[in-house]
Amino acid sequence: MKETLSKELARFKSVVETYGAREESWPEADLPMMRKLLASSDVARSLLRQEAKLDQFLSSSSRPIEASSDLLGRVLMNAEDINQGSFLKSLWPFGSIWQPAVGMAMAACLGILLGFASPNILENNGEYALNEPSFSGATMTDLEAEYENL
Amino acid sequence: MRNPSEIEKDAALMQEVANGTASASRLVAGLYLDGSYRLALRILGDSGLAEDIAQEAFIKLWKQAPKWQAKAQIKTWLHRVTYNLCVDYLRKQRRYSDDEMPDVEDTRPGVLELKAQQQLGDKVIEALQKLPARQRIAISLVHFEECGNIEAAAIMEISVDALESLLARGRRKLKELLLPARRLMDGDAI
Repeated sequence: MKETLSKELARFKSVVETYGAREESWPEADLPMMRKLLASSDVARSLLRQEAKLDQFLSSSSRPIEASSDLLGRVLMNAEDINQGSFLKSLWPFGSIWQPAVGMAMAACLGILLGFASPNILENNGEYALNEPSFSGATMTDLEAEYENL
Repeated sequence: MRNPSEIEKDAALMQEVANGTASASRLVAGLYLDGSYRLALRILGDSGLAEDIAQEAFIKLWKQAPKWQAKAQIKTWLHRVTYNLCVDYLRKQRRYSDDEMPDVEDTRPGVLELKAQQQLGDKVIEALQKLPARQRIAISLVHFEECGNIEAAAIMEISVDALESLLARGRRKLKELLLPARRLMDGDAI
């Protein structure tokens, strides 16, 4: 019994000296034994306190380290260059392509419909009346007289 | 180390990156760039070099995106690539050895980068730079990047026993190195 306890304490010491005092860092296989010793042994608790001091110092004196915005910008530019996506994606990078595609198709249909529905000015007889004098050899005086009669 | 749901989620995210979805690239960079940069900074002790290494690791990640398979988490993959790039750099500088035994401090000129460290004002980074490279990497992964022991051992391509040995020796050395600073801070001794 005593031998088992001392073996467990030796392993406890080894684990906290290796992984520190945070339970999350301990190997899963050792967790039950570590918890049991922490609950029952003053030596184990003392060993833990010693390592907790180092952990605390490492955490408190270490400033949060973040990548600079310049690095982030460069990395995102690399991403754009390397994975450009499909040609359609490069035309419309704002989301799914079906919305602008449907919009363009509707506009084209509307244009064609308007084209068919509007009167054909080439078939308008009034135009021939306007063009007629220019081909009939009449002078400006003749034209003025003609318009007065209208 | 292997979390199936996280691995699947990461695979879906990488598919978006491969499709050129800018929001996916932003999300990946937002989640993992700091970790890659931090690891490189703690291993190399130089912010400029760490930026170059982190950028290179991400270029490899973007290139890998179309071929990405749901086998690993992005975080683990990036740590592995960052670690390899740092080790390659240290090897070129003759500041890294695969040998387990020699426990020699890494004190060559340029390692400490005193000026940069003063700017960083980080005693811990300063102390880490005095550890042998492999101990420094093991502590950076397990203590600072919160990798599990199996994950960290896999990243370093060593056994868990070897990792534990590096961690124990590294922490012992850190206690010695940080003792003056700790005494200054809390008037306490280890």
